[in-house]
Amino acid sequence: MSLESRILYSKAAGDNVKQVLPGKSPEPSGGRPRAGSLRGDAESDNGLVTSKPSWVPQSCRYLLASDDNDERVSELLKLVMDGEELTEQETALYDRQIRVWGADAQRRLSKAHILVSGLKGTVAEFCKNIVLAGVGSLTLIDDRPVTEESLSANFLIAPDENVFSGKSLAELCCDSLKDFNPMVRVSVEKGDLSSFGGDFYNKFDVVVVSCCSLTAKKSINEKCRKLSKRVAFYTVDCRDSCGEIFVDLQNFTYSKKKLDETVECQLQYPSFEDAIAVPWKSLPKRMSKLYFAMRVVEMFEEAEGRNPGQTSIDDLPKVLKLRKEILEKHSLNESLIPASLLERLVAGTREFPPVCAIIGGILGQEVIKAISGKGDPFKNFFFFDAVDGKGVMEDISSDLIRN
Amino acid sequence: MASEQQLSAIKGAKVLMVGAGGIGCELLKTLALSGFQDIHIIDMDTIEVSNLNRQFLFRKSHVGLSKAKVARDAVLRFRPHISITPYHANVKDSDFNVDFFKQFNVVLNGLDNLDARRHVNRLCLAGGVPLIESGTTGFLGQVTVHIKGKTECYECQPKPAPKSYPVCTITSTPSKFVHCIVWAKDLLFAKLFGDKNQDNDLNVRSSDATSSSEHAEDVFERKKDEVIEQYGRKIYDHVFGYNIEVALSNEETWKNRARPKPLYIRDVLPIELIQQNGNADKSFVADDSSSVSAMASLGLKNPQDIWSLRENSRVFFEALRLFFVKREKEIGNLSFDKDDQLAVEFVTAAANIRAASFGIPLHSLFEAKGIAGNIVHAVATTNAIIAGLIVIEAIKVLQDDANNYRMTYCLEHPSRKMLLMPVEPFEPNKSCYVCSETPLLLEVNTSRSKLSDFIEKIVKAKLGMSFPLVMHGSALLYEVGDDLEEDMVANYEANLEKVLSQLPSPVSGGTILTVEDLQQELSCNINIKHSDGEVAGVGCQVPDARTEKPLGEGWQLEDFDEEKEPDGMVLSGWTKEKDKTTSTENGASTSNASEAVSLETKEDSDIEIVPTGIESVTTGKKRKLPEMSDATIPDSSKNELHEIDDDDDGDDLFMLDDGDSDGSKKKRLQ
Repeated sequence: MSLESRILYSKAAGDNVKQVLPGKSPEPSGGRPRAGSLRGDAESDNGLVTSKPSWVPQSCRYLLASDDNDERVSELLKLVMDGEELTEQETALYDRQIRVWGADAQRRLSKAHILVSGLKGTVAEFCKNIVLAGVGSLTLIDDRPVTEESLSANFLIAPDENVFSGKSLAELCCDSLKDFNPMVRVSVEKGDLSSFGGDFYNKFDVVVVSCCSLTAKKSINEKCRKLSKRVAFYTVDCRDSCGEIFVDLQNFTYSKKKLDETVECQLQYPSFEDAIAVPWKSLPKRMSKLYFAMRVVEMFEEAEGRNPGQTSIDDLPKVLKLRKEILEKHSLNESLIPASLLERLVAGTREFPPVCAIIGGILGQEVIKAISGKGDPFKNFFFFDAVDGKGVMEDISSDLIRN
Repeated sequence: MASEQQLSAIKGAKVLMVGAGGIGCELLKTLALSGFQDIHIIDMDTIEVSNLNRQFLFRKSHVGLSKAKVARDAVLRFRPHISITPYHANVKDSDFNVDFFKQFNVVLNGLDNLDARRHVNRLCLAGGVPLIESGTTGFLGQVTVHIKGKTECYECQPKPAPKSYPVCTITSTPSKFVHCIVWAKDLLFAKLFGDKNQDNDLNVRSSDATSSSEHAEDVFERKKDEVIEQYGRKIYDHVFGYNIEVALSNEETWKNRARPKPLYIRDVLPIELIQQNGNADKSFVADDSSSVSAMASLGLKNPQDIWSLRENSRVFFEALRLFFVKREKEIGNLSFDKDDQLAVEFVTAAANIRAASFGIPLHSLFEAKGIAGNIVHAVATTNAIIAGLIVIEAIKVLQDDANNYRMTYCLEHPSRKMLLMPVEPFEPNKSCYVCSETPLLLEVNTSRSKLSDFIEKIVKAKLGMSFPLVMHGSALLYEVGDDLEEDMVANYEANLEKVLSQLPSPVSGGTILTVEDLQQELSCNINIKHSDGEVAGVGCQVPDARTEKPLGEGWQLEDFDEEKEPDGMVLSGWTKEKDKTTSTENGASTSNASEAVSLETKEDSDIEIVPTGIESVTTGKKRKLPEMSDATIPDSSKNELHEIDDDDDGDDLFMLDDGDSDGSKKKRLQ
C-alpha cells in the first residue's frame, strides 16, 4: 500500500483528520515505533507487548472518531510510519505462518479491515482464526443479548451470568478476542446491519455476515459491489451438522505458484442474488444437495418472516410443501432434496461445535487468501456435511447458463 | 447438532489427548464445546512465543509455563463444570503404561513427532484402545482412525524417518543450502561450542592426510591470551580457506563438480571492520545472555534480508566474539537450539559463507532458521479444521459406528471439488510387525556389527523401542530396567561391546532374535541373515567406521537424492499386503470408499498429501495420495505413480527409513 492510499484509508476509517502530512518521513531506522506502542498496549521494558492493561477502554477506540485529537494523529502517524517491513515482534509472533504464506502476505493481512456480523459459534471460530492471523482490525456487529443457545458453541463467552450485565453478544466476544492478539484492533459497532449505507462498508476490505435474512444478504452484497474499491463479501451459515459458505470477490486477481513460477490468475464472481437466480435445471447433476436444501429453508424463513435459524421440527410439513412448489417451478424431481436432509436443517437449530470449527477454519483460510491475493480462492460456494464428511466447493454462476 | 445417542456417548466418555500444541488447543476447545466431560491431556512442552499465533489458549504471559496446564485453565473458563486432567510430562514416561491407557474410551493424538506417535500407537494396540491420529502442515492435514483388528495401525505403513546426509556430502561436496546448514550446525557449531569429547567430522577431508590432523587440533583451541579477533580469523581462514584448499587438492572429487572457492578473511573483510564489530556495541548489549545478538550489535534489522558475504562474515565474527565474551561459561556445553538467537545467527552466517564458497545461493536468517531448526509450517485454520474432524471421528468411535469411520484429508487445492476428502480406512497390514506377528529380516555382518549397534541403530532407531530387551532363544542378551542385579548389568554392558557372532549365545545367519519393549508391550522376532559384503549403501568412502554416524539427524527436505542407509544393516520384512481392492482391474472398488470419493475425474490424482507423521511436517517427505488410498484411485493413475517411484530408487530393496518406501517398492518384494 502506498503512503497516500494508507492515509486515504485512514480517512475512510471514520476519521476526517487531515493533519498528517504525506511528506512526513518515518524516523531513521532504529527509531521506528514498535508495534503496539501507538495502540495503547502495555509494554514491558524490553519493548515486547505484554498484555492489555485493564484500564484501556473497551470501546472502538482506534477506528472511530474519538474526542482525543492526539490519539487520532497518533493513529494516522502509525499508519504512515508503518513501514514495509514487519517488526521484530511480528516476525517472532507470526514466524510459523510467515513460513506458510510469506512476509508479503503477512504485511497485507496487517493492513486489512474485517467486518463480521452474527456472532454464533462459526463466526466466533472465524474471528479467532483471523485475529490470530494478525489482520489490521476486526469490527463486530451483533446487538443480541446472550442466551443459553448463543453460548452452546461459542468459546469466547464464559457462562458467568454476572458478566453479561447488559452486554451484547458482540461486546462480550470483543473483550475476549482482544486478548488473543494485542496487535489486532478489535471493536464493536452497534446497529442494524441492513441499515448501514455504502460509506460504512467502504471502511472494510472484507465483510462476513451470518444469521442474516435472504433480503439482507442480497442488499449488503449489493452495497459492497457498488463501492469503488473491492470489498470481499462472505455469507456463512451452519445448520445441524451442515455448513455453507458463499463468497463474492467480484473481479479478483491473485497469484499462485505453478511448478516453480508464480502465475497471475483472474476470477469473476457473481453476486449472491445472481448466483442463486441461476436456474436449478442448468446446474450440474452432481451438485451438492445441501445447496438446494439451504435455499429452501432460507426461502421458508423469508416467507414466514422468521429470523434465520428460527425453525423447528414442527415446520417440516410446510417446508416439504415449499420444496414441492419450488422444485415444480424448476421442473425438477422432489428426490433432488431428500426430506431427511430438510428435517435435519429445520430441526437442528443448535450448532454442532466440530462443524463450527471446520467451517470457521475454511472461511478463515479463504479470507486470508482473498486479502493476500495468494493461492486459489474457491468460487463461490463451499458445503460441508459431517454425515458424509465431504467438504465440497461448487461454482454456481451465470456462466453455467451459457454453457 | 448432536443427537441424543451422540450426547450420551459423549457425556459418558473418558478421553485422552496427547499433545496440547497446535492441534491440541483447538481439539481441547472443540471437545469441551461438544460436551465432553472427562478429558485428560498430556504434554511435556512449555509455551513459546512462536506458539502464540495459533495456540490460542495461550498468552504472552504464559510463555515458559506448561502447555497442558494452561490449556486446561483456559478451557475451564468457558466450560467450568467439566473435568480436565493435565499432565506436564512425556507420554513416554513409564507412568503412562498400558493400564493407564486402558482407562480411556479413545485416545486422540495431536503430536509433533514420529517417535511419540509410534509409542502411543503401541500402547493403544496393547490396551485395545481406539486411536485417532492427526497431523497438519501449512494448509494440509489429515485425520485417521486406528482400531486394533479393524483398521490399519499407525505403523502399518512405514513412515519416513528423519533425514540424514552422507558425511562426505556435508564435509566435502555440498550442493544445496541445507548441506551447508548441517555443516554449520552439526559440525562447526558443535566443534566450537559443543562438547569437546564428541566425535566431530569437521576435518574429515584434511585428516585423511595424517600430517594435517595435528594442524586441525590446534586451530579450534583458543590459545591462552589469544585475542578473540585473532582466534576468529584463524577459524575463518581454516574452515573456509584451508579446508577448501585441501579438498580441492583431491582432483578426483571435482571431475564432475563445480570447484569451490577458498575464502580468506583478508579478501572478504578489512581487518578494521572486524575490530569495529567489537567496539560498536559496548553500550548496547544486554547482560541477559538470551538477548545477546550479533544482528542487534551490527544494526542488522530484518531477518528476512539476505546478507552479503561481507555481512555474513561480520555476523560470523560478531557472533563468535559474543559467545566468548558474553556466554563463555556455556562454551563446551552448547548444542544448537533454534530459539537461541545467537546460535541461529552464527549458523546462518557460517552456512552462508560456505554456500558462497560453493556457489550455492545464500539465504536469509529467517529461512536458515527454518531449515536449521526443522521448523514446521503451521497455521491456526488447518489445526481448527483438523480438530473438528477428530471430534467427529471420536464421536463415531464412541458409538462404535465402525462402518462410518473415515480418514479425512484436508487439501490445499481441491481434488474432485473437495477440500475435505473422506476415505474409508484401510484394513490392517497383515505383515506389520507392530500389529501382527510377522517376523522381520535383518541383513547384517554378524562378525562386524556389535550388539550396541544393533540396539541403537535397529531396535531403538528403527523399531522405536525405548526399553528394549533382546533374547536369543531363552538366553537374555540385553535388557534395561531399574531393578536389575549388578552382575547382570555388568554382563549386559560387556555384551554391548561384543560383535553379534561373539556373544555368549552367538548370533549368526539363521538366528531368530526376539526383541521386546515391556512398556509398549510390543514383541517381535527378527530373522538374522549374515552378510559378508561391503557395508551396504554407504554413500561415500569414509576413512573410519566411526564417521558413519548420520549427520543432520532430525531433519529432512523433500528433494534428497543421494542419501543412503548409513548404518551398515538392512532391515526388511515389513511389507504392505496386496489386499483389499487394490488389485481389481478397473480400480473401482466395491467398498464404501468409492462412495466416499467419487471417481469421476482423474485430473487431480497427483495431489500430494502429508503423511500422518507430522504436526507439522517433521518427517517431511510427502506421500502421494493415490498410494495412501489405493482403493479409491483409478488404476491408470496408480500405474503412473508406480512407474515414477520405480525410477527413483536404485537397487536397495528396502530401507525402512527411506521416505520413498511406499507401495511400489513393497510390492516388488512379494
